Amino acid sequence: MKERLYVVGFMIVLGLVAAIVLTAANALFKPLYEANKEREAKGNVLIALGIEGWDKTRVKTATMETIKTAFDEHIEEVTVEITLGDGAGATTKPVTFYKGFSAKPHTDETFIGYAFLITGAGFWDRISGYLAVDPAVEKVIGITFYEDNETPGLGHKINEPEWQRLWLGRSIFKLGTDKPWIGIVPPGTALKSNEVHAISGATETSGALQKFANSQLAEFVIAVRKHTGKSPSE
Amino acid sequence: MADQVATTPAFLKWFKTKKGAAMIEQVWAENPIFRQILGICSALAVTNLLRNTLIMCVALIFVNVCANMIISAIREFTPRRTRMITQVLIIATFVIIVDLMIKAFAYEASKQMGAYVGLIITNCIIMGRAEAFASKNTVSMTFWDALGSGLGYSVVLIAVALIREPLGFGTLFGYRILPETPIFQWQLMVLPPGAFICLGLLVWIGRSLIPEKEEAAAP
Repeated sequence: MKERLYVVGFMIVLGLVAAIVLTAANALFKPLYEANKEREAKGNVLIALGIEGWDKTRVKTATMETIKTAFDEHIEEVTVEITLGDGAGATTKPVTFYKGFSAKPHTDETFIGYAFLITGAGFWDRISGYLAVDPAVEKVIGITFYEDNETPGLGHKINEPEWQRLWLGRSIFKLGTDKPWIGIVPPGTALKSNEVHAISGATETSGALQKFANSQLAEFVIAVRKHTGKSPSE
Repeated sequence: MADQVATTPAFLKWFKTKKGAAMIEQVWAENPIFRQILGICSALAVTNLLRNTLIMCVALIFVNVCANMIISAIREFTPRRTRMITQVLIIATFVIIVDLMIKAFAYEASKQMGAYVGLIITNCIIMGRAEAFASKNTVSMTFWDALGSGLGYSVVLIAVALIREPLGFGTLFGYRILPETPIFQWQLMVLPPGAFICLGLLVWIGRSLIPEKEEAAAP
């Protein structure tokens, strides 16, 4: 009996010590980790919008202060409540997007475009990035990813500038319609104005990206129209 | 004999001591990967970039040394029946600390290494040394043994990474050393099968160099 109590007591003490150590480590390192994540997210908004002087290398090396300053100078964050569905099944959802400006003051002249988060399940793991569109909300002006775990050399090529350049200038609507949709189609097929070629060999990654990017694009279009008060015909 | 001892430099003599021998045995004769084929999960996963490999090696050495020293320090008080769970708890605590530190100070690498830092918990090298050595030996002996097995693991991982990164990406430590053409970007080396091939070849070479000793005694 005494020995059993000793075993239980030993494990409780050990568990408590481990819990205290881990709580302390968490308190010490979590803020740094969170800051890294925030720095990266903010930096990638700058990259997606093509803010001058910002690229992947600079975001990786810049300090939090530098990125915050640049973010404050160039970016305005907007959150809009949108209504999805209609009638009794309607739900509201906050959608956040970013307005990019080449410099202060933030006017129509310095307005570069909008950027919004695209994120969802990839082939292996979550993919996250930003898609940027022009002020008229018609064409892609930039795309960047900051989180993915796709197959190196295949799906991971979504990070290559060569592939991201294919997106520039593509329409975000199906030709002649009001439906937001960017198609990622097999390499070699003829492209419509709202399509880009997939990475060969990365069918799954491309399919996943097409799915979540378009669902977030559709939400963004609703949100940005509510924000500007413009319907597509205007 | 006396002449030989006199000509041996002092730092080499240290390797002849009990502690030094315990360490060297883990690095070479009982190398965890060559001799015991332990811990190869992470050896396959993180060795396509030298930088990630080094971070992994430092993390493993840190966990191996700290966890085993504590396991050794409390070995007299640890109830035999809960020996294993005690070891896992201590190892897991250090792994979580390392994981948090990598996320805080080497964010880019932490994203690429993903789950493999957490998987150090189940690394057989640490569990194996805890059970086979730390739970029976003094803290200072455990330190050298754990350092040795960590270094033994690291030597092999770095060797694999030195083959994989140049052949797979054409770079070394992120610096380009081979022209950026498809010929020098060998997909196989980037993916885990490339590690299997490298590791297999290294184990073959390693085993033929390390003198056989206990093999015959094994059943």
